[in-house]
Amino acid sequence: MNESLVRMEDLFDNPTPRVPVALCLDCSGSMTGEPIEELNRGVKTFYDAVNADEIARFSAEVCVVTFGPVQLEADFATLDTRPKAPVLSASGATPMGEAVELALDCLDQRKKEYRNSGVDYYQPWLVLMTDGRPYGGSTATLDAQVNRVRALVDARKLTVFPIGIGADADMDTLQRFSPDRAALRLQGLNFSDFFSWLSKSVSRVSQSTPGDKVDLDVAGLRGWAQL
Amino acid sequence: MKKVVWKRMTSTCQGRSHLADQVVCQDSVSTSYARNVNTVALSDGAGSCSHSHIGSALCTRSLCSIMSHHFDEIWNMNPDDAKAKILQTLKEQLHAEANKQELEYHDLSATALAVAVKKNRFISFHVGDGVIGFELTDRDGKKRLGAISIPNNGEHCNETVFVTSRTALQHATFQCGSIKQPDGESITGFILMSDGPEAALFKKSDSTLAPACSKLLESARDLKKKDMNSGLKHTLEFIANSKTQDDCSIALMAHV
Repeated sequence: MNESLVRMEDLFDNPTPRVPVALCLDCSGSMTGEPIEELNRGVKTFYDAVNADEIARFSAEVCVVTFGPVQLEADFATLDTRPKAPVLSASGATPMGEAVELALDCLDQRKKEYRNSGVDYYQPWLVLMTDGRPYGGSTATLDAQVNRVRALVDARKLTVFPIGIGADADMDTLQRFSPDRAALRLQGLNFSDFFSWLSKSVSRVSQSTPGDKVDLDVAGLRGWAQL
Repeated sequence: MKKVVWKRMTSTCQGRSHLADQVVCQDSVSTSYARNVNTVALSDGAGSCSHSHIGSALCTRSLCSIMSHHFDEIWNMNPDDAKAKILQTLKEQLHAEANKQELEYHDLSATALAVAVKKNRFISFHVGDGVIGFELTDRDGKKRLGAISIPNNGEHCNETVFVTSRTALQHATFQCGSIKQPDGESITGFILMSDGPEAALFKKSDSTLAPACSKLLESARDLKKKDMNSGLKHTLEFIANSKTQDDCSIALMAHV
């Protein structure tokens, strides 16, 4: 007997396990001009790179929350269904706590949907980028969201990447969100290298099999972070 | 000549990711018939552990030995004590092997799945990924599939519990029951699978087994051993090439 005992139609087609990635991006007034243009270029690089990866495009689900005004620019979806990066514009204050709250609420909602439909998922990622300090939002909300993120990270339910943009980024506040890893500052406006690194990291996770330990590409950080 | 009541078949297949990385297949399967007990066992070595193929092979051999030699003792225990006994024996064997081979205990990390049948009784044990399924046949010969135990891991899909895990006992499941059910139905087959074929043979949203499982059990009944071995090997290759990157293994026990 040189053939399979079953046919393709006898098998199930289970959904690809998802890697949820929430991008929480500062698009306040201070990002006007070259910074927002570079950020848009970087986010597009990320979308294009993930979309070009045969596994990651069905696995990575990207959500984009921005602040100035806190907005959900793109809710969680795989890039095979929504391949185009949103075009972001800069305006308003820096209500970081409210933005993180929305990103985490979207994440909670998505995880609920995964569980209800039997979709496996990897540990979610939150990327928090800002060029300044929290302004125009509630301090209580910021504190609450710092605690919420730290609790998730401590319970290994979230990987967080706090990234400062430029010399005025409030690294102390960013560091509060990250109990286990130093907040990093971007080299200049090198968004593209950061998002290339992020897409490769997402790809590595999406190709891992259960039980595999996927270490962060620390060497790759040198391409975009001030270390 | 002794009449064969249960036919046991097993097979493993190296996954595409391990083939590309030149890593050996970390899944193992074993089967035994001893002391009137038919046993099938399956284990999936941890992908992140260098010697987990040794751990998985040891787990399946040990499971066959424990389940057949201590069937009656385990049957008479309450489920919590039964799973603790089986798990403790596996841990001791893995510790001894690690010492013998001068390896770290956690290098041998692997899952554990087993079913043993003695006359009208069965016991099953499960830690970690993979599925143990059954086939039930009613008085009219109509068959249906179900799951005895399903993957019991953490929240995220790259978290897996192994025999060596601190939380193994908390995640372990033990079941026992009768082959002949009170309503006239009978269990006529068991199928054990690692998480590789699980991607194609088990639907997580409603814990159902794919129609392919019935076909495999039917083939095990109908085909000669040589043909079934070859057919099962090709089936796993088919699944490994089309549905998963992971190693694949299956263990079957079909009533004839």
